[in-house]
Amino acid sequence: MQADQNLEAVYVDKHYNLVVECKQGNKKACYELYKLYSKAMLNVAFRIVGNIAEAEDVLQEAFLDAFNKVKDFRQDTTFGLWLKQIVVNRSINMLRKRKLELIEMEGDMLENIADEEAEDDEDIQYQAARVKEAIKELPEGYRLVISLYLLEGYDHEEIGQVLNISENTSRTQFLRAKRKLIDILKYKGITS
Amino acid sequence: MSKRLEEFIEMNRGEFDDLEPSADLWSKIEMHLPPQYNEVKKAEAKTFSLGFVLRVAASVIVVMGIGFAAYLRSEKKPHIDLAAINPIYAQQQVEYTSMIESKRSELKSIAKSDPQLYEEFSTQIAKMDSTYKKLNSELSTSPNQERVLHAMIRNLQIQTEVLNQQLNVVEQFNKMKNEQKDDTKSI
Repeated sequence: MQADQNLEAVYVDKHYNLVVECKQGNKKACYELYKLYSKAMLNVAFRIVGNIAEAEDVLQEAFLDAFNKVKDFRQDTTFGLWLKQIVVNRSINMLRKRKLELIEMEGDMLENIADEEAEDDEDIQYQAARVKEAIKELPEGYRLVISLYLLEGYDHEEIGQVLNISENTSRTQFLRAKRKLIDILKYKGITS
Repeated sequence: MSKRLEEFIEMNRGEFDDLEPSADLWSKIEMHLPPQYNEVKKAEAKTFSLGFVLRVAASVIVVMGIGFAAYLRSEKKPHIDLAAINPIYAQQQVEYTSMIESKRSELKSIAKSDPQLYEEFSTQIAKMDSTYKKLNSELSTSPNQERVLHAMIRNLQIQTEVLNQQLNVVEQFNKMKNEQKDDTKSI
């Protein structure tokens, strides 16, 4: 979450006042907050739920949830981080409704990852668009962990908490997901 | 394990946020906003109209107060029907007052040509007029209104006489002036 924190630290005061105004029931201030965060939050939601319609539903619910609870928000963190927590939790709930088998991932852990060969991605020319496409092709559980870790800046402890899995499982899943991603990229790189 | 992927994503983080929320999403959120946001707006409108009402009410009270004060003042000066005390005196009062008025305006014509004389004359009249006013204020409370009214009429009579004399003096003075002029011309 380092990148986020640095980014938000610059604007922390300006947004702080916006949040205060929003707390006081100023609808315009809430709209300003929406404009500031809606895009980033939509992308967070999309990476977790994997489809745009559901991501927008999550975004709508998350903002409403935030505006409902904003009075209790003590502003000891930035509004962006607080909102992101809501978005991530709501996105995961959305997945759970679709009966994502997170337990299945626990079983995978039994395999010894120490045996796995070191990843070799020296010959891959990374491109954002390609990486994005490859992430979309990952199985849901992998996509979730890799998105939270690489893009949302969560560490394995935090991922463990939000997904209700152990830190170790998160670590294992991440490594598997990463290898799978590189495989996809390599394959795509050859075929395209 | 290589960290190239991690590094790449960190370097190009912005490119991963490429989706834009649809334009009508805010209106959907707005529709479901908790009532506090709309209530506050209404409350603001209410306080505004309340303030407006208060301002209107305050100005109404001020206007009413001024009106009431004016009413009280007019009540303090009760109009006395002089004709009920003595109809002849009442008639005389009207006659004398109008006469005095016309004579005083006549006298005013010398104000420019002889301001010193005019001032002397008008202070004489003013003294008498203040006596008349004193009598007039006594009239409402006096046990013998007819006597007071009589005194008032006498005052008006004297005022008229004094004014007549003053006008005579002015007339003679003017004559003298004219004769002097004629004399100087004839010489």
